[in-house]
Amino acid sequence: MLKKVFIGKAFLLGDHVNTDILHPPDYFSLKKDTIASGLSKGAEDFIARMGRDDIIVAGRNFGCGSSRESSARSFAYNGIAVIVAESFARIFYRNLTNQGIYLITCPGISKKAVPREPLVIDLEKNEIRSQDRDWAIPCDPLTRYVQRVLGKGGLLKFLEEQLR
Amino acid sequence: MKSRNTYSHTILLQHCVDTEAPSAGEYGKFSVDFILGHDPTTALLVDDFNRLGGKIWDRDRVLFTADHFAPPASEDRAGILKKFLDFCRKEGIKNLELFSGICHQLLVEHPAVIPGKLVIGADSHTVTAGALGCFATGMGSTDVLYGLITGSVWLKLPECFKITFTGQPAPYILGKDIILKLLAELGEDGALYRSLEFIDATKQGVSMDSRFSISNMVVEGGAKAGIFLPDKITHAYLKEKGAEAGGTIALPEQSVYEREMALDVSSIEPQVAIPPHPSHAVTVTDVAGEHIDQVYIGSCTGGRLEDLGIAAQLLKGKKTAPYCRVIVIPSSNKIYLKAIEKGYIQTLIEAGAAIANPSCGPCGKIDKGIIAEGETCLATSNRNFDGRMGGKGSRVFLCSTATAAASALEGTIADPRKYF
Repeated sequence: MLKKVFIGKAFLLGDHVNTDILHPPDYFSLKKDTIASGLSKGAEDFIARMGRDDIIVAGRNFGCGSSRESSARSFAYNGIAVIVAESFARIFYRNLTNQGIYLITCPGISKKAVPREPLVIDLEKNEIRSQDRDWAIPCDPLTRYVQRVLGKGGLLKFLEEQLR
Repeated sequence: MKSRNTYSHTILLQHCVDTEAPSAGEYGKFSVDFILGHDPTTALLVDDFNRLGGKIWDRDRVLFTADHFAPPASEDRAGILKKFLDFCRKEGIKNLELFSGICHQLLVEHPAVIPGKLVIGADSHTVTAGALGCFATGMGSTDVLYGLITGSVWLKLPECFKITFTGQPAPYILGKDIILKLLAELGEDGALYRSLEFIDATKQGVSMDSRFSISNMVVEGGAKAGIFLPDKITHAYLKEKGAEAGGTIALPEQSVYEREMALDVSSIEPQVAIPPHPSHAVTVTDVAGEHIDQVYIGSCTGGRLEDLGIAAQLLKGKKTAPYCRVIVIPSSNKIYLKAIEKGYIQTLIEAGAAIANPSCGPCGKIDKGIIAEGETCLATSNRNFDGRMGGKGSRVFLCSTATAAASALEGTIADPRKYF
């Protein structure tokens, strides 16, 4: 089932955060625990500062760099279900979508949201709004294909059904 | 969508398997011609592949390479390599390249990789093969798993840029300088999701080795593909490598691009990308004299025959600077053997370089040549993110092999022009 609403507090990150920062190559492993523990270890460990109901609101070109899927899996293994950004790097977008994580492209969001601001991501109206202040801005709708993958819970489940 | 009738769209639409061609910005399903995988990213898909009871759609259209952990230097990496090799054995993969070079070089050397093909690979630098006129793009392991089983992939029909190279590069200017200059103009995400189409209108033509570096690094501007429209130089290369028949594709007429640019390569000066991004390129004179601890000549953008030839030309009969480590890694065994035959390797060893076997080397902090906290490496590789090659606060500057070789002589970043 496709989720329609996410609620959480804005956790702001900058532009061009690359996958070596999000998940350094030393944490590339086939072991789930090692992959999970590498998230955000490439710079200051921002995951350690994130609250349970926080939602990452990144700047432009989030996840640029290497295609190592270990970085995408580390988000999934840490229970992250949705990320908002001004824009996403292409392979990173695919990799996280394939893990069943909702990536919401929302141009202008990093100038609107302030740290810890409670947000509503409304995928019925395709907008993101503040719960505290009076603003709402449109986000890009998820394409039909991405909706199908996310509706199944990721590309593997999608493929599993196709092979049945 | 602005782009219409482009070379990229022509290739993609020939491969579209949907009853209705995808519309602007939508995804479509495309059949793939060839798939590339290497040891770590392929090992990552093995468990899911086996759990699904998968079967590879066409074993002959797959190239698997062991190049990252080649050979492995730790027990953990030996385990990853074993998983990869067990998988190859079980699936009866014939196109297995074991420690014979970097996947992106081995891909372009493969006879099945010819113009007009749709190629995907489990590595972001798969775009390298665009230099041969293919639509080649990188993805993660799960997308590649999907491709291996179904022979298809979901893609968005991209916007396209047309980039025409004019003039004639100076002898000390390589493809690396051209792409660094272009990335600086485009910016870190200036080509996000775009397919870049290169038209080589230079007087003598940009060499194939330089084209591979150019296509390789389009991903550093966010691009999905970087394609050289096939010309005489492409066809000469295809003939030389003994390419399969086919590969002639009618160049589309009346193409419409989102953006058109021209770059006069005559005026390009040697470029150096300062950390932490490949698009942060400046002219070498802006950083000349910067102390370096190591020079790395190699990777999928600096270890080809043209590179080794230039390095040997500059280092012949000279010695590398004291205390400056110089590591040279040919991009494939084919290149390595040719470089031995031409005497380049002997020249480089005599000058003080350490030669390692064809593999990814220290790029991505993978193998031999990792630098310590606070150290600086000048490299011909393609990424200079923080800590890309070593410890905290270590830095990587990117440049051409000409600049790297000149700098190896001086122990600081040096302008190669005085050696030409």
